Amino acid sequence: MIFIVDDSPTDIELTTIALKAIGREIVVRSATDGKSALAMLRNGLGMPELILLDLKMPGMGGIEVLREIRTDDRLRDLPVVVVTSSALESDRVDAIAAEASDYIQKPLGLDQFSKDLESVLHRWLPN
Amino acid sequence: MQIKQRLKINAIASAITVFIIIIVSSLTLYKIYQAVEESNIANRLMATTLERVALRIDYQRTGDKRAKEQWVAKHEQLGQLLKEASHIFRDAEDKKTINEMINTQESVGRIFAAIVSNREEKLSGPHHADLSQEVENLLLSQLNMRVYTNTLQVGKLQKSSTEVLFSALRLGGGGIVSVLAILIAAAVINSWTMSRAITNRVRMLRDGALVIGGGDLDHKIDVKGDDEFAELSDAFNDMTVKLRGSYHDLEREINERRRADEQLQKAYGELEERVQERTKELKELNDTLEQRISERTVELRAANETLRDSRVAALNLMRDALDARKETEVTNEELEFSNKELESFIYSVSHDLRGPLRHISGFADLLMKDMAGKLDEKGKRYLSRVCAGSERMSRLIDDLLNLSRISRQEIERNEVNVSTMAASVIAVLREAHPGRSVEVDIKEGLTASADPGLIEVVLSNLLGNAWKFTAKTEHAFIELGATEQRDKIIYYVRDNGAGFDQQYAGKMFWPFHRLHSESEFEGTGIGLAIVDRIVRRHGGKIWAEGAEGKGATVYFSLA
Repeated sequence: MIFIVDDSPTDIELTTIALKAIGREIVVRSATDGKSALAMLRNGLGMPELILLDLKMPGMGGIEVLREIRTDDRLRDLPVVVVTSSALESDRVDAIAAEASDYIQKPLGLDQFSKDLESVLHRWLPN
Repeated sequence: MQIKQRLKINAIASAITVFIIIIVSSLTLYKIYQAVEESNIANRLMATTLERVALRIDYQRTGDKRAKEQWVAKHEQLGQLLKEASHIFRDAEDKKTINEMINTQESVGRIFAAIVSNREEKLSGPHHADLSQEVENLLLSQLNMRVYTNTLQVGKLQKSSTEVLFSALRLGGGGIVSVLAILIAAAVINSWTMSRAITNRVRMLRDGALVIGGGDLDHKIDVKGDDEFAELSDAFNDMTVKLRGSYHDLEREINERRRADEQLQKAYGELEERVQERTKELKELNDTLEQRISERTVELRAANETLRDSRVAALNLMRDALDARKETEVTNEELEFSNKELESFIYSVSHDLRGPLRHISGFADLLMKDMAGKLDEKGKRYLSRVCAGSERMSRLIDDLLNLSRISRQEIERNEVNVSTMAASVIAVLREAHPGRSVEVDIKEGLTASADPGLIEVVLSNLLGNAWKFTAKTEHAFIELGATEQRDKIIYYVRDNGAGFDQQYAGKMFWPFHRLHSESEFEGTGIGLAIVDRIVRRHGGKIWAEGAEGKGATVYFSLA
């Protein structure tokens, strides 16, 4: 199961489409803000195999969610891939500093996005 | 003399006086005792003598044997008293009198014995009564004379003892009175001189202290002598000297502080003046900026309806930010301010504009892929326009980010071979457009002290533009050269391409500002803005000359 955290439902939809396009059998769940994402992770959602995390969200941002995950004994080892449309180098540095497992800058084309996601999945979920 | 010594003298004098008084009193008492003893024994001598006379008269009248024995006993008692008196009286005259009395006593004894024997002969024998009486009378007269003498001598002793008493009283009274008088006189004189000395010196010290207290630290208190006041005055003078030292130190420190304070005040004044000037400048700048921003905000609202309009608004905002930066380069604060604004603007361009663009592009892609069968040719064409628009928008955003990055990037100057760098840029262009035939003339040996990466950006933009705008020229020609003006190297890139209207030469360097339509020559309009930025960050200038259809020349300096 892959857990998408993004404040834009359109982005969640596009990411889901890009993931399906890879051709693997994937279950997708999602949350549209940091607080509810953490609540779901801690209660009832079940352990996802990978988290795709947006950075810029209203209220609790992606970096904060990432820090919470990395200080939680149960969630600490989850692969968390930061996925953002920001092209700023400083965002990449902040994500790596907060122990993001991987970083994708969302490309314009859907095909390219699918390829980027595929290589990330290959790295973290080889099976 | 020290006061302590004077006080000691007073104490010792008193002690001696008391000692003398004790001695004199003891002596007087002793003498009084002696006189009383002498008087006592003299009185007893007188009484005994008179008693013996009475007993003799009794015997003479009665001739009684008992009377005779009583007389003899009294006579012996008198002898004993005389012996005692000879021990008690000390005076030589008195001793002589007593010795005489002892002699008289003996002769009285003998005469009385003669009287007794004469009487007993008369009684026992046939003597003549007249003769016997005559003898007795003779003896009696002798005896009386002796007794009389004796009485006178006793009186003398009595008188002598009285004199002793008087002399003792004289000695006691007079001695004590005179010793006391001397002591009182000495103490009074000593105390009087002492108090005079103390008062004078205390007054001198007080006067001196008042003068020093009044601020004259150079005043010296002159109390001469070897007493405590002289020591006190010396200590006082020492203190004044030290006080003067500390006072001078303090004065010097105060002066230094005052000077420092004045300098500080002056500096503060200057600073305040400068702050006021800067505040005024800032206020003016802020006012113009605010005015422009409010003007532009109105424009932005109006122009926000379509994507194209919002592009213009973004352009205006960007230009405002750049204009603001141009104007506010005088102060660092202003620069920082506009940098911050620019950064937040760039962030929203990077993230917030890119997001929706991705949605448009993503779903257009999906339409193209999944729904292509359901669209007619017209629909497909429209869809491809949407895709192309998204791509162009994406390029604009990337260029904008580049411009912002270059604006903030640190400049590291190095020696750059401009000619070699230009040649490799041309090589890349030739490779990318193998169909083009362009004559290129690069002046040999051009160098610059500049940031190599940024100079490469400048050259690829300028040469790229020249390459682009000569696309429709028959014999395309591009030249890179340099001239010298007032010790400054002016580089230039010249072409014989489309050229431009000189009237708009200044606008070429504004971001997104183009002098040709997109359909004529492609491009985002950000390239020259980037070049302008790089040149100005090197402290150089950039300008252009040209005419429509007659080519263009871009000049720039790097210092």
